[in-house]
Amino acid sequence: MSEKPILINSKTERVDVEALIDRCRSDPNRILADDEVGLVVYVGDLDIYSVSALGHPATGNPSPDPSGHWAQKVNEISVIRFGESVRRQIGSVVKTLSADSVLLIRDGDSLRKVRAADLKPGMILRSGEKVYW
Amino acid sequence: MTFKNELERRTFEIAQRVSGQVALIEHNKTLRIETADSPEVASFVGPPKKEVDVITAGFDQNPDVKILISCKEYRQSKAEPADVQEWAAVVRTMNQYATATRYLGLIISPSGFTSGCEPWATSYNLGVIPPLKGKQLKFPADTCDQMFERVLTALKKRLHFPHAALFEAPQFYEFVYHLTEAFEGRDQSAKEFGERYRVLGKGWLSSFSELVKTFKDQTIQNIETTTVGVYLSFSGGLTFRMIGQQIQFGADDGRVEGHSVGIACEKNFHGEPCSLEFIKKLVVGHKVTSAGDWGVRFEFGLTDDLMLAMEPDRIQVYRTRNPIDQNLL
Repeated sequence: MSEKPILINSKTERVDVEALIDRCRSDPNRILADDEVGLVVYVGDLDIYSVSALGHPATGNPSPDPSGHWAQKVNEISVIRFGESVRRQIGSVVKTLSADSVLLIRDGDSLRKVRAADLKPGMILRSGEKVYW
Repeated sequence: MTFKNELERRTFEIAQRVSGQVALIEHNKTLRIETADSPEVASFVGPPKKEVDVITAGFDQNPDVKILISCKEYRQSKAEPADVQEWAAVVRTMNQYATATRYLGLIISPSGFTSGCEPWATSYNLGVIPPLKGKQLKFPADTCDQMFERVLTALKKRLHFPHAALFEAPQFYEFVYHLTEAFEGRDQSAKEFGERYRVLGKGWLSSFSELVKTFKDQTIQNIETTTVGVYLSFSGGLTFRMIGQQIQFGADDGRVEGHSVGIACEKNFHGEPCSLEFIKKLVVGHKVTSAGDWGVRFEFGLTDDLMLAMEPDRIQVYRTRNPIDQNLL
């Protein structure tokens, strides 16, 4: 999960994460958790999508869009208080990922799980995108 | 009320706390078909009936949704795919014969799950606590309790919104995962920093990185020293307090404990005596650009190459600009 996701609405307008969270605070039921561990906000009905450079979340297929981006529906936004973050270039995009997020990489004929912190240059994600650094 | 083990007792108490009287515990429960005119046993594995221990949690505002909880306390060994398959069968059977009620399944196994459990849990849409995510598969019992309470509380709120999707695999599995994955980082931070950082007001455990995020680009407004500790006020209504070995920070509630007292104040790298007023004149109005924690000593890097260092009984200010001997304060 990206620590600083790029969010858009269905009109492809950019959505500011902080402003969205502030808006959600007016309805306490949207704040699923707000504690020592972090904040989880429900936004599933607010027309929010995140832009990802990774493959399709279900199939791993690369995007049909020439830009290589998928817009994924967002149900919850998590703000993790204790997550370390790492910066990695995956495909054409540099992303900030939480260090313990789990990604699938190709390993011969099979797939293997690795943490974002353990991604190495040259690894190929399930989506076919290469880790450059 | 009797419990088979401590995990079951704690889980039930949490379910009661969150769900109120909608929480139930049943031992050796025989599954029965809800629609039958006369009670009928629902056979789903091997023998004609199946007895299970189950904690059921429901929600007043959504009486048609219930969560079936299985507690696995194996101490040394981990829960195996057979445990997940068994609970999948229970939840599937309950859903198959239910009229209006829809069931979600959750398995709690503080000793963790073997990696083979994940495909079963995702395909049958079962939540698992602790999460199957990587290095730390085993968590302390109290962390698992906190995970369960967080999930149940969040689900109660989540049910105020359209929730049909939660019943489609692996939506509920992922819902539980997202709510529990960050505990590993919290526990890791507690191990690394102990009680060093606390957020004021909430009393939450915190970390060096959160402290830096909070104070980066904030301006120092005042320094006070008391018999209790060192108090710094910042722009944005923030405060930083060094109380003995602990650092407390967050929104300033205006409380300054103890009575005013002078502590050792020093300037320059080699520690020449100076007054607190001298230090205040130098640092007040400057923004935080960096920070460092050296155990007993905490330092804020400020604009104009100034460094403000604090220890429980000493404050020091120095300039890091080179050459040092030509930039003394």
